[in-house]
Amino acid sequence: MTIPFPQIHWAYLLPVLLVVGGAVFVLMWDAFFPQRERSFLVTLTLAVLASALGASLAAQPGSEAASMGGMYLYDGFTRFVFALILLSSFFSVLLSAAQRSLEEVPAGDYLGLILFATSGMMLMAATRSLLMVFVGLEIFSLALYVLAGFLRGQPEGNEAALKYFLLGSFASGFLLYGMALIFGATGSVDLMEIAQRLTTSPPSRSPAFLLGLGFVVVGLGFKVAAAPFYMWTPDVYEGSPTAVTAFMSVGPKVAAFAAFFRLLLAVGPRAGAELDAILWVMAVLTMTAGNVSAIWQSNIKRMLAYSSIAHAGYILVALAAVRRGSDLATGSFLFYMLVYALMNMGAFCVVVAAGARGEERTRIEDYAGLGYTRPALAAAMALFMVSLAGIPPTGGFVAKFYLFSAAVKVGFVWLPVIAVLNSVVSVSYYLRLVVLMYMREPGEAPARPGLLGPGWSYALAALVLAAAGVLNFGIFPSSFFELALRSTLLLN
Amino acid sequence: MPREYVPILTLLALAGGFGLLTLAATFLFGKRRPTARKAAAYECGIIPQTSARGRFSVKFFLVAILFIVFDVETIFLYPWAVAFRDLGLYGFVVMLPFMGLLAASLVYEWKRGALEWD
Repeated sequence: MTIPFPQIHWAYLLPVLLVVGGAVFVLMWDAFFPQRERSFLVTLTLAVLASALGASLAAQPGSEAASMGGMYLYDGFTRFVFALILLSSFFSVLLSAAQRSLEEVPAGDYLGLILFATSGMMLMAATRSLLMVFVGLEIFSLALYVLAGFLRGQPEGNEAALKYFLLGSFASGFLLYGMALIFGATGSVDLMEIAQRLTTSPPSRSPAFLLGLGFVVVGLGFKVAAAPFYMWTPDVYEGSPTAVTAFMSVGPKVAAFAAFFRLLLAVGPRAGAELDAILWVMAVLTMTAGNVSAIWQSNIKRMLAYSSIAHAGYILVALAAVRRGSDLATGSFLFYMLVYALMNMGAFCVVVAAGARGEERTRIEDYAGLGYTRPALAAAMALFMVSLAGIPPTGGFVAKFYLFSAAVKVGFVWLPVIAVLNSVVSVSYYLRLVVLMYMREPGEAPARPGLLGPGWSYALAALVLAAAGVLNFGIFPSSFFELALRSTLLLN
Repeated sequence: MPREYVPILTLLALAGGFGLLTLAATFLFGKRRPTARKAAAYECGIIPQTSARGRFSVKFFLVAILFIVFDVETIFLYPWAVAFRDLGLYGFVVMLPFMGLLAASLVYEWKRGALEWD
């Protein structure tokens, strides 16, 4: 008996291989030479991420035959999502290097975990197999549980890590159980085969399949922090180191939403109207809960956590449109994630940079008068807040415009209306910060102890990159939106 | 489709039924003459020294984690070894990165001092 092996297409695998290899190298290097400069490891990690980004942009999207039995799918969608994930990892490494409280941690462990998490996210987004979705999700989740509690001396960090771990593993259980039920009802874990079974013999009405689909939605909904599974988000985001929070607010969401997309494209059109209702209610609940809760926050990390929940709600609108078979929705989802990654990373970068002189500034009150003490930083923060609120001429406005118009085109009426109303609510807390920065005197005497930390150049690079991106996508959005539109999926 | 699951359900019913039946039978028919020695906690036949609820060092946990490296290795290597001839050279080559990763994790733990007890 000979066992057939799938043909391996190295060019498509190269981005993931680079990231994993880099992670192992960084870990080993730090284990053997713990005394060396950590800036070397930071530079190396950035180089690994940049080369993986280059490799994924260089690889032309492949055909069905090159999908390694559906396990690893390299299509235009994958390529765009890879770019997003690698970009967010790049930003979080920059932020980690700039954050004062992370200076003392073992750099190899920390950067290795970031790289391992990145590889997991990439694998989760680039597959058609439910099993690979689960494996990828676990790879990045386990790394994130550790990263959340990386500052072991801080009780908040321990609380965040434990909460994230307990709830996250519970959600993983839901996901896996749902996948098992789908497998039981259709006899396959491959999304394309599942879609075929659903059309030929309709087990889509079978209770096992519907229950399984529901469980998978719960599991993925937890990872993207959609209502009603978002309760962990503010606590975990508040307790984790700020650079890790920034990472958690973008990378895992991109990966989980990508898997969600592939699932909906495969089973969505055949799974009946229940899914429509579920997505509709989830989207409305998520954005409303996020926006209304964000108004009352006094901690900036909690506020940004609720804001990221609200943005997950907007993206769920695109998901609902995708289920109705909108091509525009896929493109606008990718474009939204791109803009969201930049403006969210930028906002967290300001939080890191504002605390770069020692004490972290996490209370919103700490930002009073920042416009006078540190004008450049305040201007950047104002730009990101305006973009998050969705006001032109920033990327946030264009992204929201594309997203909601995609929903309108497939016949949703109230969903975009509610989303726009929610955006109006969100303006209140985003602009409250801007008002605080420019129209209030600095609370105490502006603390200017010593010089900036050694990582200020990293923070500066991240800030400039994010701000330039947000402005660019606001003023010249069309080229990147075209790119997002052309990033089509193999499976459709 | 559901008919395929009948053997599994039968097995579940048999296994569960056997357990329940034995428990019920001993409860109904067995004679109970408890002594202090019989009521003591069972620790593999050794007379217990202290309460089992004491705290013990977290180092034991670390050893358990270390064990996982070898555990995973064995789980993968057994089926691989059984099918080794059929897998041929390709199967040998693709196993090397896996072994390399495991070895790397062991080296990492070693270097980090996880194998030192004190």
